[in-house]
Amino acid sequence: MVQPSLRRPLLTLLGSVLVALPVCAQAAEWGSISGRFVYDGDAPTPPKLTVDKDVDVCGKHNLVNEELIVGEDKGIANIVIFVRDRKIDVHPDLKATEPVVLDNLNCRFAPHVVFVQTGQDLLIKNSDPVGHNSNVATLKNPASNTLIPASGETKVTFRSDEAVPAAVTCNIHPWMKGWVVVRDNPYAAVTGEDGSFTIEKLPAGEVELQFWHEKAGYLDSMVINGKKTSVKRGRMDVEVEADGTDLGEMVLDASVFK
Amino acid sequence: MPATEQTWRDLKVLHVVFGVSAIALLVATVAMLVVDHNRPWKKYQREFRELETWTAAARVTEEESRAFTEVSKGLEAALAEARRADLDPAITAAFLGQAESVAEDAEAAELARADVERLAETTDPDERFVLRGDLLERLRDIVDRCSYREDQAAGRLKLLKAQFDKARADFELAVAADAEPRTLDELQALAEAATAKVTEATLTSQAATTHRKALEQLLRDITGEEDAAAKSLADHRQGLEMLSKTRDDKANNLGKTILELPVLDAFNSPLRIDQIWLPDLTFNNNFRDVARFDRCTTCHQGIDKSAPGNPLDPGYPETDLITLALPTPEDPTADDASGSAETTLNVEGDGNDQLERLYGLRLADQGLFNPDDPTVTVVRPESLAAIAGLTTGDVIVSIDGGRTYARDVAAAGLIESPSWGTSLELVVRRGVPQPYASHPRLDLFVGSLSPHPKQVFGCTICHEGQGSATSFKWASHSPNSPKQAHDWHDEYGWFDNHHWIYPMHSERFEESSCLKCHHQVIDLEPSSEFPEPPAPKLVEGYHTIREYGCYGCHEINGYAGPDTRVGPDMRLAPNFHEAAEALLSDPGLADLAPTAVRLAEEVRSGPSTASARAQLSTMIKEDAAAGDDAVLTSRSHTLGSLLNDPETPGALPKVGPSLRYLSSKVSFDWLYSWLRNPMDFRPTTKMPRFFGLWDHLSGAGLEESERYEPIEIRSIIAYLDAVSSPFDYVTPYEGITAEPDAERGRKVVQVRGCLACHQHEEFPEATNNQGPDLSRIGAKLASNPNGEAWLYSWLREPGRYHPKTLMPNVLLEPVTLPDGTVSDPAADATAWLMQSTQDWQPSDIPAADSLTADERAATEELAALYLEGRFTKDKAHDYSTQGLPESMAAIGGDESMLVGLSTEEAARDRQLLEYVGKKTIGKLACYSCHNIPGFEDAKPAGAALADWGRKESSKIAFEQIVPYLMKELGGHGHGHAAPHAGLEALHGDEEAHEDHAHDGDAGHADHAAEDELVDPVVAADLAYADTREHHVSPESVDPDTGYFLEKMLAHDRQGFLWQKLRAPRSYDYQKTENKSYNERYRMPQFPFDEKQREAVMTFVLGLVAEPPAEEFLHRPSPRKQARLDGLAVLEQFNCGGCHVLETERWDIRYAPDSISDPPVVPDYAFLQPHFPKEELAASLATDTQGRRFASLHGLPVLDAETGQPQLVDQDFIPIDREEADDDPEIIPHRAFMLYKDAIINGEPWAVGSQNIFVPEDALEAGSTYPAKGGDLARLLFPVVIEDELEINPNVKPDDAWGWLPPPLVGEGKKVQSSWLHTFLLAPEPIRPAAVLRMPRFHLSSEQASALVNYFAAVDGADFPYDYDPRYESSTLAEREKDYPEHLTDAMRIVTNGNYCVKCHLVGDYAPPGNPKALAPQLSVVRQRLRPDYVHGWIGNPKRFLPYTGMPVNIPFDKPVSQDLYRGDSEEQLSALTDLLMHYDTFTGRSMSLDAFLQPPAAEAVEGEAATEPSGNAAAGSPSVQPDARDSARVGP
Repeated sequence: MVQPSLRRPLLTLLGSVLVALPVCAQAAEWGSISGRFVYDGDAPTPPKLTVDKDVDVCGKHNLVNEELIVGEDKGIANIVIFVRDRKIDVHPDLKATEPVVLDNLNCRFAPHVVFVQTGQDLLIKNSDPVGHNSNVATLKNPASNTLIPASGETKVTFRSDEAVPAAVTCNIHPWMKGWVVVRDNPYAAVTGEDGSFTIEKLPAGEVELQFWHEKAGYLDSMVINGKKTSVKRGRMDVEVEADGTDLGEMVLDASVFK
Repeated sequence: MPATEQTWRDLKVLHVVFGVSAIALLVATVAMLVVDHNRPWKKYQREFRELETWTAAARVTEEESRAFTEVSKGLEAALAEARRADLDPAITAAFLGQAESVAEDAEAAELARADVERLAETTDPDERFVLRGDLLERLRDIVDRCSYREDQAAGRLKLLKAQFDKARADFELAVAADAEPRTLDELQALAEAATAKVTEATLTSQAATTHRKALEQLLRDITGEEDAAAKSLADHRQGLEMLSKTRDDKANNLGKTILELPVLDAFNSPLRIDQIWLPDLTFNNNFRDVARFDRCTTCHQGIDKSAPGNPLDPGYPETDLITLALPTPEDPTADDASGSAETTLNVEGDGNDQLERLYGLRLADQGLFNPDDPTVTVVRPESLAAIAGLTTGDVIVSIDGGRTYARDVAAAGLIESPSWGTSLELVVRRGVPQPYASHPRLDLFVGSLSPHPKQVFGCTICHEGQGSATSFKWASHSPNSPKQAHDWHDEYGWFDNHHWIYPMHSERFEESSCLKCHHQVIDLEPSSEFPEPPAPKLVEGYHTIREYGCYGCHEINGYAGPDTRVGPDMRLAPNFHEAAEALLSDPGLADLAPTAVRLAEEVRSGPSTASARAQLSTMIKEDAAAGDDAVLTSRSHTLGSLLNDPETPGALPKVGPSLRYLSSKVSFDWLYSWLRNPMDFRPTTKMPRFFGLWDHLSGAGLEESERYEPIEIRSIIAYLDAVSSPFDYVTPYEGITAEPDAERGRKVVQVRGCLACHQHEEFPEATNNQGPDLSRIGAKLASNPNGEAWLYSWLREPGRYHPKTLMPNVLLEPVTLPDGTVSDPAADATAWLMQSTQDWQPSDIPAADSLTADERAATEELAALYLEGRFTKDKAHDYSTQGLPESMAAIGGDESMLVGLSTEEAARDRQLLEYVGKKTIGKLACYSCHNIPGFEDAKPAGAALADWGRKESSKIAFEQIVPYLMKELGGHGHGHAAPHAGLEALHGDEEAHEDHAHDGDAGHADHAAEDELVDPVVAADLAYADTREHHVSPESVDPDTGYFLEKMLAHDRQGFLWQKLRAPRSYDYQKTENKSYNERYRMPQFPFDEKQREAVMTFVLGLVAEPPAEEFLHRPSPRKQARLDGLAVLEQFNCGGCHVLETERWDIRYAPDSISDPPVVPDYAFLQPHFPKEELAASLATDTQGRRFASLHGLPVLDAETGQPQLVDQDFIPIDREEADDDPEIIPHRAFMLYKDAIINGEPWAVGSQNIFVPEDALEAGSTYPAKGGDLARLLFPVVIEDELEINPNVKPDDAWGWLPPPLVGEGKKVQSSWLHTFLLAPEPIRPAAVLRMPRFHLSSEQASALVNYFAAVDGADFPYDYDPRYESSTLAEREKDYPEHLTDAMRIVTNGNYCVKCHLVGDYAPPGNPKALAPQLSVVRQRLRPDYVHGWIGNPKRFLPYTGMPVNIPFDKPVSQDLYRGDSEEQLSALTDLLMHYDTFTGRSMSLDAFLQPPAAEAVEGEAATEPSGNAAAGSPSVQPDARDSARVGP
C-alpha cells in the first residue's frame, strides 16, 4: 500500500523548504512547469516483498516492491524531475527552514523518494518499534550508515548535490529501499501516483530538465502530446513561460521499465 | 792489428739503415699514438659529453624561456616595489626610540628622525626613493655603530678580566709567600677594585649587545619585505645559475682539448677508462677466483643518469618511437599573454617564436646525433606541447604521416599546415642509442637508491661478458637475433668469442642472472616496494616448472651442503605419505604394534607427522632386526627408511594425482586413450605426451615404435591395475530426501568454489587452471562402473583418495531446500558433472583382456629386452617366453614377477604385461609426478639441473640434431628460397646496409622475413650446407627460431635446451639404428608454446650454482622473509583463486579539478586518517602537464550485472563503453573503492568515506597494477546478486562482497595468529551470509604457520605472537573498579533489540530471518579478532571494510541510551570491546558448575582398600582416588 504522503507531488513541500543558495541575480519573471507521466500498457501490480526479518512487526504491512508504481489512471509515480542548470536564479519565496523527514515507517521508507537540498537537514526517523539502519549510497557526499534505534532519529546534511538520486537501504531489512534526491536548488519534483508534477517559481526562460526513474534510469524516450520524442540521457530543454508551461501528457511505453 | 779508419760495416749503409729504422720507429710511434687516440671508447665519451652538454644547454634554454623570464620580471618588479614601499612608521619609530635610549646614538637618531620627516613631506617618487635609501643607510649605520661599540665594550671587558685575573693571582702568590698582612690587604683591595670594574664592564657589554640586537631586529622588520623579495629573486636565479654552471662544466673547451692531445692525455685526460673494482664479487678464471674489473661504464657513460627531479626514471632512455597527439590552438592568430599577437602564419626566421607562441615548444638549431634532426629543446610547462607529452630531446619524425627530414620541414609542418583546432599526429623518436642510454630500471639497478648500486655490484655479475674489455667485440656482447649479430659484425667487428666462457646474456635471457642471488625466486615477483615486475620472464619460467613438475625428473638441488645454498631449490618433498600408504597396505602392520596403524594413518594425512614418523620408523627397524620373526614384508622394511627426516628436505609436491587407487576411478579404455595422447581427451592438460612422437623416426626405428608403444601403454595399465588398492568410497549422507538434481548441481559447481581452480565450458569466464578442465569429466568417469561413486567421494573427501592433494575439502553438507526436502550438494554436483562429456569417447582402443599373437610376441620381445639387463641374451629370450624357474624365487627385483609364469594364456599375458609395465613405468619415470605403488623409493630419472646453466657444450650430446632441424625447418615451408643468396649479396649491399643500421628509427622490423643478409660469422654452417640437401640459414627464418638455430649451429647449450623442450625425442634422429629400443631418449613432449619455452629456458640457464659472496645474496628481513614463505604457500594452494590478497594499485596523474575534494567525515579522532604534513603538501605538486600524482590502493567498483569494473560518466552515472566512445560529451571515469587512505589535492581521503571517481585519462597518464587474487570473488559477484534478486528485488550490490570470499587485505591486523592457525587447519563457518565455505586444505601445520605469519608480516602486525593489555584480566579489573557493572551494562547494549543481536549470532542466540542479513558469532570474537580491530570496527566498520553493510551503532557524537551504559561514545566503545574480549569471563561468572557436579561413577578397582570417605573432594579431580569417588557416591 502506498502511503498517502506520496499522493501529492513533493513540490508542495517545497514552499516550506529551506533555500541555502546565495541569490545573486533576480529574474524578471517567474513561471512554472508542469506535466503528467502516463504509463502505456497494462498497469503492473507491484509484486509482494519477501519479509523474513522481524516478521511480527514488518510482516503485517503487506509490503510490495515499489520500484514501479502506476496509479489507477495510469499515472506513473516516483519519477524525479529536476533542473540541471547549475547557476539558476532562485525565487525569493522559495526559502524554507524545515528539515525534510524520511521516516522508517512500517518497515519501508516513507516517502519512497525524498527531495532535499544541499545544506538542508534530512531527518531520518524511525517510527517503527524495531531498529533500522539507513545506508545512504550517495556518490559525492560521504557515505553514511547509522543505526537508528526504535523511535530514534539521525540527521544528515549534504554538502554537494548528487547527479543521480541516492539509494537508501536498510541492511537489517534487506527489502527496504528508498531514494534521496539531493540538489543545490529548490527546482525538483517527484511525481505523485497520478503521475503529475509541478515545479513552481522558476525563472522565465530556457531551463534544462532531467527525468529519472529508479527502474528505468534516465527516461530516454517518451511520447509527448502524441509525438515520439527522444530525450537523450533524460535531458530536455524547456522554455519557462511567465504564465506557466504545461508539458502535457508524457507517455512512457511499458518497455522503458523492463 | 793497427787501428784504421776502416769501420766494420760500411757507414753509409749504416746511416741508411739508421735513417730508415728511425723513420720506421717514428712512424710506428705515431701510428701507435693514432691508434690509441682513436680508440672507440674515446669517441663514445666525447659523444656522450656532447649529449650531456646539449641536454644541459636545453635545460638552460628552457629555464631561460619566456616562462622563466616572466617569473624573473615579476620577481624583479616585486623587489622594486618593495624598495619603494613606505616604511612602517610604527616600526621606524620603535627603532628610533630604541636608538635614542642610548646617548651615543641620540644624535644619529635625531638626524634619522629628520630624514623620516623629510621623506614624509616629499612626494616626488624618485626623490622619495633616494631619501628612503639614505634613511635606510643611516639606520644601518646606527646599527653598525652599535656593533662597533659592542665590540669595544667586549674588548674592554676582556682587558679588565685579565687585570682582575692578575690582581687575584698577585694576592694568591702573596698568600703563598706569607706576605705582610698589610701587603695582603693592599692586594686584596686592588683585586676588589678590579672585580668592580669587571662587573661594570660586563653590564655595559651586555647592554650594548641587547641594544644592537634590538635595533637589528627592528631594522629587519623594516626591510623584511624587500629582503624576502630579494631572496626569492636570488633563489630563482640560482637554479638557472646552477644549470648554466653544469652546462659549462660539461662542455668541451680548449683546456680539455689540450689535455686530450696525444702524449698529454697520459696526464689527467678528461677522457679515461672508467672502472669499477669489485674485489669480493669474484669470477672463476681458469680455476682461480679473481676480482672483477668492470669497465663497461667507459662506454656506457649514461647508465646511471636519472631524469631531473626523479632519481628512479632513466635520464637517457633508449631510442623508441612514440606517437603523440599534439592539439593545435583553436585560433592561431589569437593574442597570448605576452601580447605578441602575430597574424601571419609563415615560418619567419627559425620559427621558434611562433612555435613557442602556438605550442609552447622550440626546436634546436641542430639535432644531437644528426644535425638535421628536428629536435625539441624547450617545452613550456602546461603548454599544448607539454599536454601532448613532448619533452626536451624528442626528435620529430613525422607530422600527420609526413616525414620531417629536416628542422625547417618540421617547423613549417607545425606552423603552416595544421587544420587549427584539431590534433596533429606526431611521431617522435625519444631517447638515445646505445651505448649512451641509461639503465631502464634505475629503481632496481645501478642507481644509488636501488638495491643494486653500480659501485657495489658492477655490471658483469648480472650481464656477464668480459668486464675488463674496452671495445665492443671483446666485451662479449651477445646479439638477440641473427640480424643483430650481422649488424654488429658489420658495425663493430663483433664475433662470437668462444674462448670467453661468460658471454653476455642476450636480451631474451638477461633475467637469468637474478637466480645467482635470488634463490627463492618468488622474491622476484612484484611487491609493494617494486610494483613493476622485476623479472617477469624468469618468474614465469619458475612457475611453469612448478606447474608442469619438471623437478620431478630433473632435480634442482639448491644445496651443496646442509648449510651451503647455491641456487634455487626445487626438489620433491619427502614422500612420507606414500610410504605410509604403502605400509598401510601391508597386512602385517596391524600385527606390528597396537598403535602402528594409527601412526601410519597419521603420517598418511596428518598436518604434523614428525613424532608419528619417528615412532613408526623405530617399530619398523625393530621388526627388520627380528629377522625371520618379522611381521612386515621386506618391502615394508625398505619403506621404513623413507620415514626418516632427510638433512635438507625438498618442499615440492608431485604434480600429478595419486594412482594408488586408479582402478576405482577410470577404465581401461579411457586410460589407453589418455596415455596414448593426453591432449586428445583434455587439450589443456599439463600431462606431457610420451607416445606417438615419431616425427624424427623412419624405417626400422619407426617400425619398432609402432610395434612396441601400444604394448607399453597396455602394460602400464596392466601394472597400475594390478597394484591398485581397493578404495573405500564415501557413504552418502543419511536423511537426504531430494533426488540428485543436475540443475542444482550446476549451481553447486558454480558457486561452491570449484571455479576458483577448475574450468568448465559452461562457465567460460572461469579461466584459472590450477585444477583440470572439467568439461569432459563425465566421459572420463562414466567408463568405470564406480566412476560416479568415485566422483561423489572425491567431492566430499578428496583426501581420502590422495592425502596430499591440492584439492581441498569444500565441506559440502546437506542443504534444506525451500520445499522442505533435504538435498546433498555433492550428489547434485556429481549428477551434473557426470553429464559433462562434450560427447567425447575413447576411440580406436584395443580389446582390454586379450592379446593378438603379434601383440603377444611384441610383449615377449619387450620383456626380453628388459631381461637382457640382467641375463644373457639367450637366457633373457627363454625367460621372456617361459618365465623364470621356481628355483629363482629369491631372485628379488622386478624379475621375480616372472617367476613361475602361468601356462594359462590370459594369466600369462597379464603377468608378462605387468612385468613390462613396471619396467616401462620405471623407464618413463611416471612416478616423478604420480604416487605409484612400488615406486615409493624411486629416484629422479632426469639430469640434475642445479648447474645446468654452466654445462659445457662438450658434455652435451647434440647428436644429429642439426640435420634434423634443417630438414624440419626446410621442409615446413620456412625454407629459404635461395639459401646462399644472402651470402653472395653480403658485400655488394654493404652501403645500403650501413644506412639501414644507422637509421635509428624502428620502422624496420627485426621480424622482416625478407631476404636478409647472411653473416659470415655464422657462415660456418654454409660450408656445411654445401654438402647437404637441406639447408636453412638462421637469418632466413623468424628471428626467434633463427636465434636458436644459430645457437644450435654454434653448439651452444641454449640451442640444445630449446630443441629439447621443443621436440625432446628428435635427438634420436638417425640414432635409433645403433640404439636398443630402451636406450632411446625418454623425455616426453610438454605442451609448451614458444613463450613458455623461453621462460623455462631463462630459468634453467640461470641455474649456475655460482653464488657470490654471502653479503651479495638476497637475504630478506625476517618480516619480508615471512611474507615470502607465506606467498609460497598461498601460491601452492591457490588462495588467490578465491581471495583478494593484495588490492589493485592505481598510480594516477590527474588534473587538480578533475577529482572532487575528499569528503569530510566527522568521526572518532582515532579513526581519522593521518598523514605527515610533508606528504600532504607534496601531493599538491603539479608536473609540466599540470597534473598531480596520487597512489590509490583498492578495488574497482564492479557492475552488478556484468561483474566488470564500472565505467561511469562525469555525473558518476554508469555507462557502457560504446556510449562513452560515441558521445564526445562524456568524460569516462572509473569508480574505485579505496582500501587504504589516500591523498587527493592535499587532503586525506579516508577509506569508507566514499568511492573515488577517477577520470580515465588520469589512469592512462599513470600506471595501474592489478590485484593479487580474488578471481572467484569477482566471477561470482554478479552471480550471487542475480540469485539474490529472485528473493529480494532491492538487493544492494555492495552487500554481495559479504557473501563471497572476503578480500584478505588487512587480515594480519584483524585476526589473532593462533585463531587463524587453527582456522586454516580446521575451518569453521564465520559469516552466515556467505554462499560458500572456506574449504579445508591438506595443509601441514608449518604451512598454516607460514600463512599466519604472512598476513601479520604484510600488515605490519605483531607475529608470531601478539600481545594486547586488553587480553589481561587485570585490565578488566581496573575498569571494573570505576564501573562495577562495566561488562553487564555493555552486554545490555549487545542484547538490546536495536543493536548487536539484531543481526549477530551471540552464544546460543540466533536472530531469526533471512541468513543474508545475519552476521558473525560474537562469542568467539575473543579468540578470533585483535582488540584494536574490534574497537575500531565497532566505531566505524566502513573504515576497515569499505563495502560492509554493518552500520555505525555508536556515532562518535551520539552515544547510545544512557539507560544501557553510562558514558560517552568512546567509553561505550571500549566497554563493548572489553566485553567481547572477555566474553568467556563474563559468561563464566553467571555459570555455576553445581548443575554438573555429579557423584563420581563407581569404578571397580580391585585390590585397593577404601580410604577415609571424603564427600567434599572435588568431583572429577584427577587427584581424587577411585575409591574416594566410590565413597562419595554412597556418601552424604
